[in-house]
Amino acid sequence: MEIIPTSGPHWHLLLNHFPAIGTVLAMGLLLCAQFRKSEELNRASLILFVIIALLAIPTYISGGAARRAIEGTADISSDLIAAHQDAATWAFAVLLITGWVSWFAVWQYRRLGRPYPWVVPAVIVLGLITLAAMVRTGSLGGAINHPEVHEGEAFAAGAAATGIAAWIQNRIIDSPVVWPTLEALHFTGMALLFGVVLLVLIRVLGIVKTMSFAAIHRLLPLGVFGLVINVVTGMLFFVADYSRYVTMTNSFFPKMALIVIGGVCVLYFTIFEKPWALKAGEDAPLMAKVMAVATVLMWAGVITYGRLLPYLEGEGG
Amino acid sequence: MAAQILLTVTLVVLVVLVAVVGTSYWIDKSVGKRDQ
Repeated sequence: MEIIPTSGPHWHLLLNHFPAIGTVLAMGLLLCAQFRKSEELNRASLILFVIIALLAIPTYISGGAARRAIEGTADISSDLIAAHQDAATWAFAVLLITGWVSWFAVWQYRRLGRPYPWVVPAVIVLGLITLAAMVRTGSLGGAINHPEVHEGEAFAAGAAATGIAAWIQNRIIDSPVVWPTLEALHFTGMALLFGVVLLVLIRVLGIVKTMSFAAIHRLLPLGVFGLVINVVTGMLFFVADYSRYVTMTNSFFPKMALIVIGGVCVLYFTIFEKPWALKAGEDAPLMAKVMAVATVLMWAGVITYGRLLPYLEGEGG
Repeated sequence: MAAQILLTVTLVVLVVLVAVVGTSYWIDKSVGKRDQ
């Protein structure tokens, strides 16, 4: 028995629970926080939304691997797979926005002590939309291999694909301009993110001690903007050409794992007290230094694996 | 075609950069006001 999955489809079976159940948990916590007027619960639910949004990346990617593995198999409906992928594309898009706004709220908690008044209500609305999208995605995904759960014409009628994935694929593949533009934006986003992450490193390691960490903290939204650009453009590449990416199990899959870990590292510098309290001239605690080095290593790994993708193309590459 | 690609890429990257840097600057400024 494999405890740790070794294939894309197996990873998908494991990962798909996190965005679905995670959204329910985060929404529940967020609503409880409003009734209890608890800032701690508020922060916990917002952090959870950010982590779920990060985990949704490998979940979607491994879904592409699962599609490639089972498409064309007898008793598996291609229409249902397409409907599930479309639902997942919408769910991913709205979860990404929810995670981004949640991160912004968490950043404001650190910077101002509380977020702007409109931010948490915005997350509640976005979270509810995400929840609805997740329920549909999960329901369609479960039906692919479990016809005993969803039988009848009513479900089949509701399972029609919206065509969003095919539409994206056609727009990107058919145009000579879109792919190079996305590539340029992908590089731009990475430059923004890596630049900010490097500044965090040089301050935390003490190479530049003349400024407080709070000064660097002000730049984090710029870096996270870069990350969002990269996730959007990267996912568009994937939707357009998923069958090529899912074969690169030794380069593309590790890149996705590094993105999740690198994202969590950025979250550490957004919310934790110790780096935030670092005044000009002070030496950073060991934990912050380890996290700063880890953050840069993760994102350097993402860049390296990303750059190597065209050279490692092919089954097992 | 090469000229069209170059022009489109340059324009889009410029617009996105201005939007991103401008929004970040605006965020920093508005948060700075509340900070005081």
